[in-house]
Amino acid sequence: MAGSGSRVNLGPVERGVSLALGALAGTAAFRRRTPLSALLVAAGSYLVYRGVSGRCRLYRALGITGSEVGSTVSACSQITVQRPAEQVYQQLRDLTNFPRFSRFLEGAEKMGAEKVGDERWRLQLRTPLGNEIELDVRQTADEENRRLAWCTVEGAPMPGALEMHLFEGKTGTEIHADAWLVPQSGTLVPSALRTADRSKLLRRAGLSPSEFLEQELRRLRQLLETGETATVKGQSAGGRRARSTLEERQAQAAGGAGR
Amino acid sequence: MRALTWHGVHDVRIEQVPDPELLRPRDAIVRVTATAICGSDLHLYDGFIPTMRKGDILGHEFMGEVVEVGSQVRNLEVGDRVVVPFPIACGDCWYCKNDLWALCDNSNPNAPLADLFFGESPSGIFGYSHLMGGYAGGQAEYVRVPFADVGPLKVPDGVSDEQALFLSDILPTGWMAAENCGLQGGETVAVWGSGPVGLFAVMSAYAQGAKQVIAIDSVPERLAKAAELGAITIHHEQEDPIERLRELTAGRGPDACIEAVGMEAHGGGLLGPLDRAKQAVRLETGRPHALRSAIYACRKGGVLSVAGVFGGFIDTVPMGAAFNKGLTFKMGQTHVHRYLRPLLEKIREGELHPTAILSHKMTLDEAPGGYEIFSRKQDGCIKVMLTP
Repeated sequence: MAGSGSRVNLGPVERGVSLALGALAGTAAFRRRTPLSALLVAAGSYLVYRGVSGRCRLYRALGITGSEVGSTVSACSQITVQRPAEQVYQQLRDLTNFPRFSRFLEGAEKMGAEKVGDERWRLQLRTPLGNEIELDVRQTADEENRRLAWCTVEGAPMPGALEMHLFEGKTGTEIHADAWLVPQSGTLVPSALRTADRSKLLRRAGLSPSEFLEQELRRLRQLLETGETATVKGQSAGGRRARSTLEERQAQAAGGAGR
Repeated sequence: MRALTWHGVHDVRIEQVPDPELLRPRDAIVRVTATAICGSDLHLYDGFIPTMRKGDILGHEFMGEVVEVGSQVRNLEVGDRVVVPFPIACGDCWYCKNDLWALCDNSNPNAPLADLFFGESPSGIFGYSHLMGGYAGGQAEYVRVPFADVGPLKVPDGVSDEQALFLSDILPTGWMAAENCGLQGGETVAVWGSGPVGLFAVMSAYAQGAKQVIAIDSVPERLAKAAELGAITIHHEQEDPIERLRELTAGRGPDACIEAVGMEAHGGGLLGPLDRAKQAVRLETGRPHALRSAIYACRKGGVLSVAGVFGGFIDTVPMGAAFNKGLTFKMGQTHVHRYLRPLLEKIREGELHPTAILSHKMTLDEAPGGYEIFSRKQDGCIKVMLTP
């Protein structure tokens, strides 16, 4: 029986790149024979093996896998809020509330429903890389105080979906959120983001999709529990930051006090 | 306005910075009338707390006059005299509602960074690194106070700034350190460190029923101050504190030990130089000599209360001794909000005298010099109060 160590853990693009680099290293070693040639042959051989077999020991040690194909990125996270489910539900069912806590959603406008129960919104999104995208979304589930879901309409530049389940208990209301997204960038970025979600280090450093979602939920909790989100943007500071303090205040004044 | 800003290791300056503004509806702006340099500020000064940025305004012990309030602050008015707790707490989260204010879920805007260091984020703290929120501190003419409807306590007429200022941190910290010992009356309590928190821990342990309090330090004037407060003193460079403590307790060891030193302990015997070397190259972030000593000294089944600040990793902690002696550990940033009103009452009634530890009064402009003498323990410096 093959153990987990023998599994392919490289994607097709990376296997091709590895193979090409290995061949280049080998060619370079044979063209100019120097004391480093042996090292170059060894490195080239490993890269060729890596490309042909699709297995990487380093990735396995780090818990990284790039072998999954597809362009969808998913994220999930949970948080508990000291507010009744009804209040959480009322806040969440209207997407125009989202820019008050979200760092990625800059605007949300409710559109006219095409038919009863078919609520639609137009969202202005700013991705972590700074790209601005406009998305139309429609509601796909609305169970009072229990479940809400939305997805992008057909033909959206960045298809995606979000589902939130609410459970009220003795310790508050649990929010379980699941998100799916197809970034505009082909398969490379999704592959990197999926890798980030599987890497314990990157997750802990807050650099994975599920961590982004967790930070959004944390700011949602701040808003629900306190009525505002914590900030130090625009506060007093000295040195070179004295000037940026004033610029941050102007930006906040222009963008409203929500975030 | 003028403020004391951090620019690097042993480099703090007074400079002109933009005045604070209300950034949220629950904010207030306070004109600082008195502020202080805390022993934990020295960890920033010495460069042992990560995530500081040049230009950060220091100071988490301050009080003053309210000059502006946000639209959601209804319990304060312009002109109120207030003392402000050093942890920033929202009053609405599970932790605040359970009286654990220094663990507030909602006040640290850099919580993901704190998650990375600690697993979970504590509350934000004024002037204490970006790990703790990056909030501007109170060693300034003015300060922005978030969640001002929850934290600041109005100071009544008849209580002076000198009496009220230390409610912001070190008096409740000393009080909680003693409270964590669970004193029933008649116990012996040993306190490592006779800095401001250690001295307040001595005062608090007696106030909570201890029969005998023993203070351990190596600075003569601090030991003298501890003796004035009624403590038996041990100079840890002149005698072995563990042996001396056994003598003073008829061989049992103290019932409770308070560690009021934290990450920059002096001494340490053979491990001392090793700790210093490892801390210098950041292989460990603290020199836990006092903690080790307290674990060895404490009687079986006793309590170890840690009030000194630790920020990262420490080595060679005798966990086997702690485990096999069945010690109870209690620690953490102080839930200052919990203690403000009861301790203010004790000050008003003359049961506690916080001014006893104050050694130096300076202007804000003199603060860089204040940091230097406090850090070097020069000029008999125990506690520096600053007036902007």
